Amino acid sequence: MVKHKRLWIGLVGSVICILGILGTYFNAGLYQQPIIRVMRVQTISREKQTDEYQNEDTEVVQRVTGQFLNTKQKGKTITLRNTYTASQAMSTRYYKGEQVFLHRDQYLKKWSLNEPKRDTIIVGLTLLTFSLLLLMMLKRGLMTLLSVLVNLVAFVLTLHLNALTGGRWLLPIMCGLAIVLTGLTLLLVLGPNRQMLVAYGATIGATFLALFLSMAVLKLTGDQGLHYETMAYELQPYKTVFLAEVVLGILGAVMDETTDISSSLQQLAIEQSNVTKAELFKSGLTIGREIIGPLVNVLFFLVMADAFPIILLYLRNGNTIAYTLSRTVTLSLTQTVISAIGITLAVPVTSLLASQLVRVRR
Amino acid sequence: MMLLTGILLILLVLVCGWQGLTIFFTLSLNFVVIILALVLVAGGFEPLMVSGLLSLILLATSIFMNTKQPLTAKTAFVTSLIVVVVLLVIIVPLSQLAATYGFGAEDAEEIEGFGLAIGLSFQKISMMMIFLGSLGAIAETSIAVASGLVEILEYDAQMAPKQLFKAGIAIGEKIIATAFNTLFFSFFGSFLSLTMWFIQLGYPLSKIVNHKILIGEVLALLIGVIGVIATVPLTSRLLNYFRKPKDE
Repeated sequence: MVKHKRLWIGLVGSVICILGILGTYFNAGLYQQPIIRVMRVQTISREKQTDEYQNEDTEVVQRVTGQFLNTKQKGKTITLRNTYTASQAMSTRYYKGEQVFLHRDQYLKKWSLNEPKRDTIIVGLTLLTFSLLLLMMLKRGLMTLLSVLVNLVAFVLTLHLNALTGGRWLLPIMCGLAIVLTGLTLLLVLGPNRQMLVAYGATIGATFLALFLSMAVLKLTGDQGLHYETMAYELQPYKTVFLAEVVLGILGAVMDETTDISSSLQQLAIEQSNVTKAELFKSGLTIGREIIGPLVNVLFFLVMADAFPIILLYLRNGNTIAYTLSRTVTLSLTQTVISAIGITLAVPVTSLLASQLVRVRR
Repeated sequence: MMLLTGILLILLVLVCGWQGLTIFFTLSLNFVVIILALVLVAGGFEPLMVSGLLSLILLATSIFMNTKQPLTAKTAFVTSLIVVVVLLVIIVPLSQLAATYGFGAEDAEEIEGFGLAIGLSFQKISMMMIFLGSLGAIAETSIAVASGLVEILEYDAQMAPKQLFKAGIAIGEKIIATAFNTLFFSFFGSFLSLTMWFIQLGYPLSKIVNHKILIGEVLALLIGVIGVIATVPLTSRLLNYFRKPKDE
């Protein structure tokens, strides 16, 4: 029965993936911005260059010939020049077969290549991932997807609300969002049961404990050594945006942990009907201890990965390692430390709640 | 920041005992290893080679130093390695197709005044980023599944392989869902400012679904999720394989 279900999901999933890919591949007509398909690419010139820090790079000029896929020019061909550096830090190399957005300079009345069309790949991969989730987890996969969609909508709506109120209430609004999203997610993923209550209580408790603790400490030390102005996109007020980012970022990890611990404990209670509360609490701590490190690593790796390009840019522009780190990763590290505090606090909180609330069959 | 770090250290020791020190030490070690890897890349070493080495070291430190149970650690390590290698096969073509590497237009202010022709392949650097981003989630998932199963085995060592595999999938289902959320919320967190930017400046949807930075990050997120999904059955299978290598 289940096998049949999986087979069907696999089939329908593949069909939807293919439809999604084809649909976005041929959707140029939906865009107002002109798009071309690249038919031919020729390299016109290559020029080696060396900057003041002895970085060698190559500047390449390519001639790109393409055919318009939409607007009034549809069907016409156009040939344009594109200059890129081999490292492609900000410039882009174009390949044959790619679809590319064009930009028209109204003043000079000239076309230029803007950026590649990326919707096909992202829609394809999203649908593939969703199909895999369903295939692997059937009903629970559906709930996970539903929770993602609900979260996404709530996230965007909340940010609109934030924009309407002029951004003055960002942190309270985000904390409210955190409480709602956690509830929705856990309800959809775990269903309305005791385990969900345990995970919810523990997640909210640990997250806000960590937040308030960090806010107090940051206030006490006067944000010493933190360069909020180095945050990406420089949105004001820096510190509030930073804290809001931390709260949202940590939430998933803490939920992950509280769910892991409570689900393992419940599994244990089902497999072993004569387990005591004290044993459950101890097992919870044991499981939790093994999760803390890896889970902090997850967030730490994600945060560090985001900083790679900027760190390398600093290093290659003749800055010392110490200066580079002080300008690029102090905030990432602080974020990791606050997250780690939340994750650590969640272990005893969850174990305690779970050992009291998990139903033990007698 | 020093004070916060101190508080973290105290909390870790309180909750985990001496193992807390190990966790803290591992985290610091991982930081040093990552920075070292970046210095090597900046020094001209091949980014993909460095990523391979980096993955190996980070998996080793974050799994073996955090997990005392040898069976859990071994299973998690082997699983994660296999999954990471498989991911490499997807990352290379996808990264090329999506062309999301390098800096976006919104980064312009931040990188003003820097020379950009620095002779590093930003395409390879973006692959390195995707690697590192998914590494943690994969390791975490396999540890969670394996440690849950080992915990069950401690109460019932004679459990049949098939039943154990089923228990693994049952634990795994919930873990995939929550690991997905870990990645997803972390993505929310790091995209809070960009989304606020989108809303304030009224970006049209057509621009958002093709946006370089956003798509790059979504790509990393999805590859991480695929890695996590693959990890669960593999961990359960490998644990069955490792638990009694001689008897069966």
